[in-house]
Amino acid sequence: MKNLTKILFTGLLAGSLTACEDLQIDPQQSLSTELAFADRQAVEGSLLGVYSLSQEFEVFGSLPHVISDFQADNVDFIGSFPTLQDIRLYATQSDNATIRDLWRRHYRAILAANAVIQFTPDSPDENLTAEERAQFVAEAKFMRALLMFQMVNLFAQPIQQGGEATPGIPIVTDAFTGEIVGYPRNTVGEVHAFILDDLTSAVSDLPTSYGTASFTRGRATQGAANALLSRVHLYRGEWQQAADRAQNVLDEEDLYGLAANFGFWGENNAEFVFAIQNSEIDNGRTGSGGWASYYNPAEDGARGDAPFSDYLLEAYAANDRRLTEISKEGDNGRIYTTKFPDAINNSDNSPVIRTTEVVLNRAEALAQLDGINQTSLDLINELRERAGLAEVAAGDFSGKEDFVDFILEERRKELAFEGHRRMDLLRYGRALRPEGDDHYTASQAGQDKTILPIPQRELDINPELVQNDGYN
Amino acid sequence: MEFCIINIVKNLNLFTKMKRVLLSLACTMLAVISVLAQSRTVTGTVTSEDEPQGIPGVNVSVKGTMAGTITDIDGTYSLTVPEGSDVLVYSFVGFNTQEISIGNQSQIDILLTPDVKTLGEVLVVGYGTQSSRLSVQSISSLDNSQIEGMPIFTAQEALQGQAAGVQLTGTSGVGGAQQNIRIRGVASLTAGGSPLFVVDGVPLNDGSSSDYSNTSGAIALNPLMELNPNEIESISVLKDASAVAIYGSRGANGVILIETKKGKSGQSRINVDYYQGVQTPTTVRPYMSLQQYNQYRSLRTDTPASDFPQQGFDWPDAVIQQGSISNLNLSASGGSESTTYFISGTYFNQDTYAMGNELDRFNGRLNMTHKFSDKARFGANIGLAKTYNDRIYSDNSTYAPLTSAFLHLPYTRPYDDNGNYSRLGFIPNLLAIEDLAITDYITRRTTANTFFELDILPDLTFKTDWGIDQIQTEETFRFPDIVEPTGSGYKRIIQDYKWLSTNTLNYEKYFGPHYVAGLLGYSYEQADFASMTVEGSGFVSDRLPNVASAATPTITSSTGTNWRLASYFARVNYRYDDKFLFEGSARRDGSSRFGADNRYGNFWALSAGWIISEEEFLKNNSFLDYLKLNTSYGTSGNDRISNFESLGLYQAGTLGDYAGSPGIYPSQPANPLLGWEESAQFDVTLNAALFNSRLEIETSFWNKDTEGLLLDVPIPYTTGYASLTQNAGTMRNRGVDLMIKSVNVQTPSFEWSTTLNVGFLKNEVLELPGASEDNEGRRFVEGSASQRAIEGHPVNTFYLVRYNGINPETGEAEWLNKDGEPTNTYSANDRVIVGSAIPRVSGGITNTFSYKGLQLSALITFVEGNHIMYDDLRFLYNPNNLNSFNLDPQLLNYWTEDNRNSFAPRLNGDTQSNFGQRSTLHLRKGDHIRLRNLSLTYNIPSTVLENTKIIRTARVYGMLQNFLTISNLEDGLEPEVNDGGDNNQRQGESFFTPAQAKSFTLGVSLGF
Repeated sequence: MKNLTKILFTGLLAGSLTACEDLQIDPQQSLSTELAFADRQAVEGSLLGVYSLSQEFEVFGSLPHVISDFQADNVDFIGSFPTLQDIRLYATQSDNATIRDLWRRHYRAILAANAVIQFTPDSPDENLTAEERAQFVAEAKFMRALLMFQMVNLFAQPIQQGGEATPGIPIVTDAFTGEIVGYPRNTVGEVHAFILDDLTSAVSDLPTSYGTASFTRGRATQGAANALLSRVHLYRGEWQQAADRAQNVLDEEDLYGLAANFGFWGENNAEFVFAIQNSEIDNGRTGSGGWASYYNPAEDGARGDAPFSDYLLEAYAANDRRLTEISKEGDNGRIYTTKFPDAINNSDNSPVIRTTEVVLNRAEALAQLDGINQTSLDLINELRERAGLAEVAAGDFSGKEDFVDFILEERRKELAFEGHRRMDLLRYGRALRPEGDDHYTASQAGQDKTILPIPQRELDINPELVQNDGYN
Repeated sequence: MEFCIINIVKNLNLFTKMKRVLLSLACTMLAVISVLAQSRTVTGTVTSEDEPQGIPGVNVSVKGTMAGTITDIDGTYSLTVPEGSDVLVYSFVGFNTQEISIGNQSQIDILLTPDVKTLGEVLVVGYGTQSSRLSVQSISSLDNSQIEGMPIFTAQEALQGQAAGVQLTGTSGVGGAQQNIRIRGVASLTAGGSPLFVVDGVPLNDGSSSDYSNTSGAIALNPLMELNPNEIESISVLKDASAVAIYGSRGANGVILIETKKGKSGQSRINVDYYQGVQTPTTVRPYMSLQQYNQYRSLRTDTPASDFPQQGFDWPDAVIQQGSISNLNLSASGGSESTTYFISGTYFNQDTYAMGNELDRFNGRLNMTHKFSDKARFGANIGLAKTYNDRIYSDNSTYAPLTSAFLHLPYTRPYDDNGNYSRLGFIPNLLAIEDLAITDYITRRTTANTFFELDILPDLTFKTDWGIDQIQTEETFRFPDIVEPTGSGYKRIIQDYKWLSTNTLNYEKYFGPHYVAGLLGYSYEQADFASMTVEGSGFVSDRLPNVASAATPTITSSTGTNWRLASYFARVNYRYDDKFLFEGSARRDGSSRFGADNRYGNFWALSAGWIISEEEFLKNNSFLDYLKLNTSYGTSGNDRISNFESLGLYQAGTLGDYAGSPGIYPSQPANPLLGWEESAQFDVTLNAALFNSRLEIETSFWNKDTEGLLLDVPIPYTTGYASLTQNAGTMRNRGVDLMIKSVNVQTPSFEWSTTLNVGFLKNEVLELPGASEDNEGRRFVEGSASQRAIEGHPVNTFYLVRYNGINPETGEAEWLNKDGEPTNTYSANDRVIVGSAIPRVSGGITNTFSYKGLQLSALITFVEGNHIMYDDLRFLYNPNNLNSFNLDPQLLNYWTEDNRNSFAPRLNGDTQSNFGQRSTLHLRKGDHIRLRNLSLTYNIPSTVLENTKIIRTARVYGMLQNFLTISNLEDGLEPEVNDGGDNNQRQGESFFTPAQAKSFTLGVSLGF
């Protein structure tokens, strides 16, 4: 017995003292920052991560677009979410958590893009060619420009109201390395200039297409960069450049063209110049708040929060295919769009830039430049034909203004539910809601609550930021 | 013959043994003196029930003389009695003193009976036991009599109102919801705030309990869910630095030590305990009936009510039911001289009052010990449990029955005209979920340890203890087509396997009046966590329960993570004359969770005590039995952060992928300097027993300063991140714990006793360097939209716009601006400090009346000084939600010329749309008094039971839980809620958080 206990004792004592004490453990689901640019695969992975962060609900997962459409007159927000209700009612507060997250997610993607732009050139992998490095950087620049343009439109008065010097958003070009910088807001003019610079420098480094349709439509291309340039110039009233850049896109007939009918939704085809790709497994990004969730009726498994407004319904002719072919009536009697049908997995792509928009950009820009003109008429008639409507002719319009208004109305009907309406009204100095609406006064262009507040949280920790008027 | 060994297994405490040795020494000297007198000789043996072989060191003296001796190692004595003396006095610490007339006996054998009062209870402390009389640690303990028979699911619930300085809040009435325990305040902002739970020496896996389940409201699951209260012998709450420093990096939030029941040598005893009862919610919030809703809708829309649906459905009535609870426990214990055992099996079942919520638990336990020899022992404690939890969602989820029942429009109906379930959309068909969905959560847990103990020298013991805590959870969701079109399925399986080894050397010895004890230990702990998750949608039939049948897999994931902790610890005790008490303890912890530069942390404590009642000047008073003053100072830490928080990371997986190709994204900024939070605590405690221990008082004054508070310092989003974890803040908790036990009336047949436990607490955030500044220049960290931790104020400070009521003249809602002036304009910039979620005073008072076999006991708990934010009222009071949700009936009390003192603004008034904005309109004072537990027990007299020949004890009891609540809260508002779970920065908020249950149970307990 004594021997047994001695053996046991010695054994256990020895065992306990030699127990391994290695306290260095590596994570299993993440890479350390150094490894994120270590080789070609990791660099491309870091770049694709930027697109992936843009899938977020608050980025291109529909939130900015839904807000833009219901703040304007296209969509009726009938959901219960108080932070969204406030925006609808022009009662937004500076601590609105939805807007805070929107700001946050955009900058998260922007900073991921900055890291790609900053670290890709120095990646130690020799197999990564100079062309590839340039392309990855250009893609990241395109994404940064796209993200910043969406933000400046939401958080700043358009230059048509505020001028070039009105406060925009902070321009952040560096990756985060631990030093916390309180960036001030740049002016809208500076932001626009920065975006235009990024895009123009990126165009030549970008490919025209990729090996797969989902990359050709879902990654930055020359076409996408030109289309975005066209939009930025259009919003700035730089009509000639807007028209020219649009033409650059439309010239690539192999890649881009108007679909023959409205069956183009739900796939990667010539109708889409740039669409953030979503899939079932990206559900975690778009979650319960994806495109389909807001825009489909509740019985389809969606929230059913955002049907057509009565104003929009009135805008369509009864036989307009843009109403009849891509809408349906919900159990609650409201009309919903069917552009984003997958309310179950929220896998619908985000239609960031469509060929239709590029066509409309050109039509509008030329109308601004030349008044009633045949090119614009032809472009518009192409769209009307697809919608099953009669062509229009020069004689149908009293003058340039009437013609531009008509193009804008076509733009509204084509691009409804895609988030364009708010800026299309504001840049023409128009109220977001029609006369007679409860919020007509508050929704006049230039009014405080037509733009979103800088999140209170950011003001609290960054004294360099200034709040938008009306939110203090 | 060998010196009697310390027998921990029998629960005899070390103190008693050592005291004997000391007394032996003292008495030997006396004996030497006495032997000089002329006289006769008496011999005999002194024994007790636990030590039939004889008690060494018992003082045997001749009454009225100096003569006396002490018993030998085998309990025998031989004493020369001087002429003229006839009475012997047998005394020994821990036993009742006996006086015996010698007469003409020459041999007198004595059986001593333990004196429970002077012995002082045995305190379970970190890595050992101490006598509460001689301990310098501040510990609240509960024994099984304070737990037994309570219709509770988990052990913490028993702590409520029964341990001073412990604030315990039920978070929710959902079955299995965790209790929020804060020992002497919250000592952290972002890291875990719960105490460390240690069961039979095994620290439970708990820090990552939120990893176990990612759904079902905000309510985390309970780390003690798999432990059956029936199996618990004692619960010790370690509070001051001297008690917790030995747990080092995990001690800052306090430590709760749980000992399970052990067997005792002697006849086998079998116990059967069964109770059964019913449950209902303590309160149900009001809601509009269909008729009221139509009336309100009609008023708001100028449409006759007859135009609206006249048929509806009473959702709350459908989802709130009478619940049931039952528990059957069978146990046996006993053993021989060398081997003891305790074996127990329990089945617990609870159907909560919420539709679709059911708990089933099976527990088994085997605890045993065996002596190889006088010097070597081993033992094992093995607990097994399986819990089946048919869950419901709660709080901020539209799938939560107790949320959505109050949101469903009263004209929304669950069935269509054919009697089939309707598809209802965003707020789903709750009845269909209950009927067709699977929402299961199954846990299987083994918590066990085996130990081997060896007396290397008579005073030196080595112990090695090997423990495991292995949890497997299985979480299943399967929603039918009617709820989620095409159906969806989800399964997550988790394994969290922890093992640890604890090795200690224990030494103790009296050297005359000097007592020295030492503990030296090393422990190593490692936990490996793995999860597997699958999710899919698209099922051809609701009858296919598994994700394998889904057309589209949306999640296919497996993850792994782990952590390690290596520790060295020591404790030294020194006592002089058992009057002056000193203790020092220290621990060095190395944790894999911290950056390479801060991997190791050192923690320590010093304490001293003085048993004043042992001083001559107090010895001969008639009322004071015991008076001890002790004080301690020391440090402890908090390691409850995620496993890789110091590293800069890029995350891979489905959140980084794009268009079918793998991607990564920056997910965490690096912080190599990340280190421990450290709490330094100072404590002064006074213990007193008066009037033959009929009155016992224990009071502690304490101060706990936490430094290096791990703070998610918010950084501008323009960095790409939301926050940077830093050791930045400091926080202070200070307070007073008071326990008073009193036997108010004591007659042979009747006794009335009262126990009061109360804690006074003041929490203050001292510094938050780097945090945001509000417009008053105070730095703060936001915990929720309603509360903040603000410098100079408590960590859970409500920061809201003050609601000022409806202006009787204009009928518009008014708020107060920052300067306190009424305004009709709501602005978030007018937020001010309006209260705190942390109670100033909390505690409980127990009154027990015993009359013969009958016992009536009432535990009343109370809380004062806190506020509660009922976030749900923002929805129910919000006129904007007309036609979206059901509403509070008070909205019908709107302003008119004739109703100027209204609840709601005038219809179509300008402030109508802002009436629902977050303000003090939704905040309430949380003060309340609750009759927590009222029990009536009848012990059937043994004279009756003797006739049965087999039944040894029999007890029948009835119990009411949470039966009465006194507060200023309106109907429907439950004070014991917390939708933030364990989140330190979000306390005292409710979002339709299910109310606590009140229950009535009847039980019977039989012993054979």
